[in-house]
Amino acid sequence: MVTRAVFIGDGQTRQRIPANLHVGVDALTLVRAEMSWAPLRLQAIERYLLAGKVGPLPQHVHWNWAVKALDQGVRHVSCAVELAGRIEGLMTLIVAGKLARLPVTAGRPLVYLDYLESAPWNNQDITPAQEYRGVGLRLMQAAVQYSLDVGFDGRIGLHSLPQSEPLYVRTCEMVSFGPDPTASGLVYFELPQSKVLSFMVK
Amino acid sequence: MPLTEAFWEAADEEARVPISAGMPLRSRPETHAERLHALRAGGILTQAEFDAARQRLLDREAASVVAHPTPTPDAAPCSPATTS
Repeated sequence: MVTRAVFIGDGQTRQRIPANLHVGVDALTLVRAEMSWAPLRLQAIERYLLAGKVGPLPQHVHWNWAVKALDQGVRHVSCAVELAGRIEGLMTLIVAGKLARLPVTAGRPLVYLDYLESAPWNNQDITPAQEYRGVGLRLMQAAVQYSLDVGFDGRIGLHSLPQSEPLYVRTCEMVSFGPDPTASGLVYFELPQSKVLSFMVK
Repeated sequence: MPLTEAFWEAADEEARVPISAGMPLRSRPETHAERLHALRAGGILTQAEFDAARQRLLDREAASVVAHPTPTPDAAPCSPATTS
């Protein structure tokens, strides 16, 4: 496992907060994160049902990182943002077997973001007084850095849940390929190499 | 040194729009590994059969990485064998 120092933002004071970015976390880290995240997800579902199915409910509220951990294979690399021993966000990459679709780089390998999620207390739809901001951004930057490190020139791709599509377009400046019939109609995005530098300095 | 304006623009956007990538519930295709777990949970496979099948799956995945150091189109995004 490789660890780097990163800064995330305090959701209330907007101070910068030092945290650790771990690349190559083990399955047990995913399981233990899920053990602390799951109760908050369940509470969000409970609130939603008590309100008559009204109100915010993230589209990924059903995710279970412990189950994902069971299926980690040799192509997977998982990353975590950790602060004082607590996992603030998780991401699993597929680092082999995925190819770019952008015309300029079509057919060349890229790093694929299989799953990416901030901790429930950093998600406004689950915890309105969001604790930290920018955790997902730091994880995405880690994916791009991984791509640079393995010689993929920063190329990354992902299928977005509908709730996140505007983020990938506006903030990340990724290119949309529209709904992908091979991925349940989720929209596929790729980061053009021309946007790698501006994305990494955020 | 404070965080950059660009960071906060991105972080605030992330606060408004939950960041997530991956398959949604139900419409996500079942992976081979998930199918094995379901068969084991349902008592269709014995523990020994499950262990053997899972090992074959891992071996096949490992072999495909060795066999294809340069990624190939047959490893299409989100194919059942490669999603988790």
